[in-house]
Formats: sequence, C-alpha cells, structure tokens
Amino acid sequence: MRLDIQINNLGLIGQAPLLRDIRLSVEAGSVHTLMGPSGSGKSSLLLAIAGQLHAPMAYQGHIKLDAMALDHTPAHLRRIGMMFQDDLLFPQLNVLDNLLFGVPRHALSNTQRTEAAQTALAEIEMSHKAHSWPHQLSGGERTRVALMRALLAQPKALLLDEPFATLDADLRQRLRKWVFSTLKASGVPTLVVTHDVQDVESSDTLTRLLAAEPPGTFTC
Amino acid sequence: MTVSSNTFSRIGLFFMLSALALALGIPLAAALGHAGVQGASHHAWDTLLRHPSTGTALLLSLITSLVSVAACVGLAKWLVFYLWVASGQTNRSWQRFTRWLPAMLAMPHVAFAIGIVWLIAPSGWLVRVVSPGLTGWQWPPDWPLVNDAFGLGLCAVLIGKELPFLLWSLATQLQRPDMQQTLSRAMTTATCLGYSPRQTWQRIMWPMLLPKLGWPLMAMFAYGISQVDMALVVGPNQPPTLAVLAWQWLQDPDPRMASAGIAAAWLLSVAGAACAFLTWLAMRWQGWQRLNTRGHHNFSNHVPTGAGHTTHQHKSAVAFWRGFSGVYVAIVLALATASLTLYWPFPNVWPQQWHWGAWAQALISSEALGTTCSLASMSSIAAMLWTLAWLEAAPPRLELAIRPALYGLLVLPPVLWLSGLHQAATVVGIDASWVGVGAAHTLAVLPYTVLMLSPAYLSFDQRLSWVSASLGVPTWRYLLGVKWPMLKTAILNAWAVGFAVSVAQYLPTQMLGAGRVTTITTEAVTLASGGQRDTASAFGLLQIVLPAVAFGLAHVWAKRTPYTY
Repeated sequence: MRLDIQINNLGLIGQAPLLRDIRLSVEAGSVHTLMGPSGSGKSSLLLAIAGQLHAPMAYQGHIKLDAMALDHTPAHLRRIGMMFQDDLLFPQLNVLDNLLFGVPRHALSNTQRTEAAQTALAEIEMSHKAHSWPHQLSGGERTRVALMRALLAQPKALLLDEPFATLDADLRQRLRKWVFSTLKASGVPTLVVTHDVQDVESSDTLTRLLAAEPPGTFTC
Repeated sequence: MTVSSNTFSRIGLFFMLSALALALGIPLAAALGHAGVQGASHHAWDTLLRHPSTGTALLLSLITSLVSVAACVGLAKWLVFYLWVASGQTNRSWQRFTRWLPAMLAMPHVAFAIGIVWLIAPSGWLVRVVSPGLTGWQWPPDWPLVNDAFGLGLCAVLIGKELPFLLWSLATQLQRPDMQQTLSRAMTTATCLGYSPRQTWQRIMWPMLLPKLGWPLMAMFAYGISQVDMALVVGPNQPPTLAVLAWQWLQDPDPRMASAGIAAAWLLSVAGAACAFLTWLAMRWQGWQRLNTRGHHNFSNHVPTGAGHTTHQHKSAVAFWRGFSGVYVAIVLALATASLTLYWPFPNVWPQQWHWGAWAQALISSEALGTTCSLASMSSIAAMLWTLAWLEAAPPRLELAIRPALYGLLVLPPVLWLSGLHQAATVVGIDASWVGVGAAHTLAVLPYTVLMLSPAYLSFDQRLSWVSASLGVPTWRYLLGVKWPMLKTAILNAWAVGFAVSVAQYLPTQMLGAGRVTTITTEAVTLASGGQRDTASAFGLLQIVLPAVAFGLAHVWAKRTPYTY
C-alpha cells in the first residue's frame, strides 16, 4: 500500500532537543491522530512537515510525501494544507473570496474557479452566506469554510492542529463527523494533533508521544 | 441637605474639563470662524479663480503631494517586505532599520530641504564629487535641479522626509503583538494554500495593513499639499505651489488679495479632502480584494523565484536603506561644511577657505535663538500639561470625541487656520508678539503630544489606581508618586517631540509674529531663499541641534529612575 506521508527518524531541536526518533506514516484517505503532553512538540512537528518551522527550531531526519523528500522544498510548493483551532479566514475577504483564494489558478478560468467555489459552498450548505464576512459567521460555519478552502487547494496532505478545540461539545461532535468523513472521501492523508479522546476514536490510526531520555524530550 | 465630597469632585471635574475644552475650542473656533467668513466672500473666490497662476499652482500642489505619497507607499511596501517579511520578521536588518527612524523623523523639514539643496544643486556636493573627473565640467551645469518648474525637487524632498514617517507608522503597527500574530498566521495559511511569501504579502498581508495607515497617509498628503517652508526653499516659484501662493497673498496689503489667500487655503482644504475621500473609497472598494483572489497562479504554475533571487532583492533593499540613511548623514555633513565655508570654488570637493563667521552671526543673533528656545519650552510644556490633564480627566467617549478637532489641526492647511487665528489675535491685541506666536505654537504642538502620549497613557493598568485608592492614597499622590513616574519615559518623549515640533514651526511664527518675532527656522528659510549658504546652514544645523538636545535631556531624565512604561 502506498504511504502518503512518511516520517523517518525525525528529531526536532529548539533551544534543546525536543523530539527524537519520530517514525510515522499516514496512508492516503486515512486520518491519523497524534497525541502527547502539552509542550511535547506536536504542533512544531506539523510546522516542520508543512515547511513552516522557523529559527530557533529546526529538524533532522526525513519527511516524505508520495515517496518524495520534502526537506528542501519551499513551504508554498509542498502542497500541504494546514488548519488550526483558529480558522484563519482572511478578514478582508468575504466567504466566497476566501474560498476562491484557495482554488488553484492553473488550468481553470475565473468562471470555472468561481463555479468550483460555489459548488463547495453548496456542499457545506452555505450558499446563502457567499457574500458574508468571516466575522458574521458562527464558529462552526467558519470551521467548515476553512476546511473547504483547504480542500479546494487540492492539497496532497492535510495537517489539522486541534481544529475543534474552540467549539462547544455538541458542535464539535457534529463537525468532527462531517470533517473526518469529508477527508476520508477526499483521499487526502490527514494528520490531526489533538488532546480529545473522541478525535482519536473517530480516526483510523494513532501515534502517542511519550517522555524519553534525556528529560524534556519525547518520542513515539 | 448634605453635599458629598463626591459632588464637589464632580463639579471640579466638570469645570476642569470645560476649561480644557475652551482652551482648545476658543482659538480653534475663532480661527476657523474667521477663515469661514472670509472664505465665503464672493470677491475672494472671484479674485482667486481669475488669477492666472491659480490652476497651475493647484495642479503643482496636488501632483507633488500625490506623487510623493504614492512613491513613499511603493517604497515602504518594498522595503518592509524584504527587510521584515522575507527575512524572518525579527532579523537584525529590521532592528537596525527601525532604530534609525526616530532620528530621521527628528530632523526638521527646513534643515532637510536646505541640506538637500546643498547636495543636489548644480553646484552641490554630488556634482562636485564627480566633476570634473567623470563629467568634465569646470562650471556648474545649467540644470534646474532645485526650484524646478515641475516640482521634481520638491517631490524628492517630500519623499525623503515622509518615507521615514510612513515606515515609522508601519513599524508601530508591526510591533503590535496582535498584528504580528495575525500577519504571521496569514502567511502560514496562504503558504499552505500554495502562495509564495511575496504573493502572500501582496495579496493578503499588505491589504490587511493598508487600512491601518489611513490617518498617516492622510496626514502625509495634507502636509504635502499645504506645506510652505520646504516649498519656499526647494519648490517651484514661477508659479509656486498653491500654499505658497496663498501665504504670499495673505501678506499682501490689498484686502482683496488677502481674501483670495484665504479662499486659496479653502480650495486646498477642499482639494485635499476630495483626494482623501477618493483614496478612502478606493481603499474600501472590494474590487481590490476580488482582484487578489483572481489573476496569477498558485501551486504548480507558480514559477519559484528561488532563494538567490530573494537574497539579491534583500541585498538591494538593505543597500537602498543604507543609501537613504546616508543621505541624512550627508545632509548633516553638508550643512556643517557649508556653515564653515568662506570660499568654495567649483568644482572643488572641499572649501578652500574656512571661517566661523556664519556661526558667529547665528550665535550673536541670540534673539532668534533665545526666542526659539523660549517658545519651544513654553509651548511644549503648555501642550504637555493640557494633554496630561485631558487624558487624566476626560471620559473615554469625550476624549475620542475631541480627537477630530486635534487631527483637524494636522490635516487642515496651516495657512487656513493660522489666518483666522491671526485675526483673532489682532482682536485680542496679542498679534505681532511673543504671546501670540506662543499660542499658535502651542496649538500646533498639541496634536503631536496627544498622539505621542495617549497610547501609553490609555493603556496604563487602571487597577493600580484602584489599589492606590483602596490604600487610602489621594489621587494627586497616586499621580505624582505612581502613575506619572511610571509613565515618565512616554511623557518626556512626548515633551521632546513637542519641543522639536515647535522649533520647526515656520508659518505660525511668520503669521502671528508679523515679521517681528524671529526664530532660527524663520531665519533659516529667509537666508536659504536668499541663497546665503553659510548662514542658512548654520541656522539649519541649529534646527537639528536644539531638538537633539531636548531628546537627549528627555533620555537622560528618563534613565534617572527605574520606572519605565
């Protein structure tokens, strides 16, 4: 079976070593959760995969996507989407324009791109909010738009950093179900950092970060 | 019936706020009221519109101002991207870059203009450095590099002086933790969607920042369109800009021309307001945002610029900034050299004969120096006391309500409100006197002290006053013993800025002083317009030295106690 995200012997170093010997693989169309104590470097690991890790943090080891090493690929050419607990919709763009911002521009005319964005809006049942501003949306609506924007960019992999942490329990449960099923249907390998056991139960596979030697470092 | 002490304190507060509002409101109302009455005259507008120079002068004012603001915006966008965004947002270039901005801002406009003239004039230092070796010139070329009819020299000077202001405004925004977080997250999100850092800056981050620069841009435009002192030194003169023309008409003994001067000032205000409104509309137009979501490619069709290209551009930005900072250093050197020159034939790079005559004349002219210091001290202290009292006593809603009046002093052409103030001063009998000029300086300084002090003052932790009150400490002891010492650095910096602003005032001194009150700035402009290189340079350097002394004093005094805020 093809492994879409593959991490081998990865070590993360900040002011001091943080992660060591991380081995992890996420298959296409599966949702893999990553759990660990606060400060163990989960979010930094996501940033390393996305190519967004900045000094003083750095990593050793190899990150591969579709068997291609990403270590020297600039962040914007990796085609790895990210979602955070804050949805990060651009406040100066309305909902439709936020979605359009994610649609790849090659091989599609502006009309086709607009159609793609509108279809996506219809999929998340928000066609009537196409011209609303991000601040006019509820938490759940913002999360749906952010996920759809990330998917419209046709990423090869998706990284979610506690995407439901700010939502109330009921909404979290409904959105989790929708997000995970959408992601599995899209065939995109997804890595989710979470503290929520229910996220783990809804996912396909799990990696736990555990304390290691020397103190302050973690491994899996 | 009993009257509580709370009632007394409320009555006291009411009287205090009323006195403060009247101290600002009466001169402003008198100034604008008189200008309004004069400007409503049909004859004034008739004279203005029939004058052959009006159209060209207005066009010159608008074009020099718009071009300089547009150039500053373009340069600031380019510099901030390569010095801040593309190089990690906390790099040494950015820290060095922002460290020099206050020093650049502190250089008075007139001194900058005089220095630039000595640098770029046909017989200036730059031409001398390359002559005759590279040019073969034994005589200065007959090029209209200064006082050119198109206002190009004025544009260059405006860009040189306004770019640091815009960059300082940008740096202030970028230092805010919430803005840093927003921009950093926008960069992460857009990069994950396939946009390069440059595309992200262009499409997302800059559109987020630009609306925050509305007031600084408006102030820059208003300054460009209405300034007189720099235009007198380096601007066109056949015809001059409309602000200079208005100022010249206001000095005319013929009442019709004086009225036309006020009408010209109103015309400048209307033109400025129209341009500001159009800019505001353009900035709010959602079409810009839609353009950002269409057009160029992300992901696979994007051609990566590569690390080499970015490094090259970064080096270009650093080199530009060094060159730009170098101009400021060169100006100080040019002023110092010119002030000591007795005989300096072209094309010699250095003078052949030196002398102290210009400095002797400048220092012997102790009246101008003394008047400058006394006016700057009085107006900065008065403005500071008003600001402290107002920020302490005024409820937030009232404080916000009075802001437009203060900002109005920054964006209205000074020639407009000063002409009204001059008439009011004549009625009260304080025109052509130190007191009248001091009042005008105080009004000119006030917006700056409020702008400088209010961020620190309004974000001061209010809980300290509750703790202080709970310990039974009276308000005055809390202010003198806790709050103001903690805000000492901000207060002293605001005072120093006020002092510098007063030193640089030209029009208020000329209009309220009616030529009988002279300061180093009025002397510098007069001498520079007359082409007296050495004495004008000495006064120009004094213009730089006095604010530097004020900032030095503020720095030393602020360091004397451990309190900083």
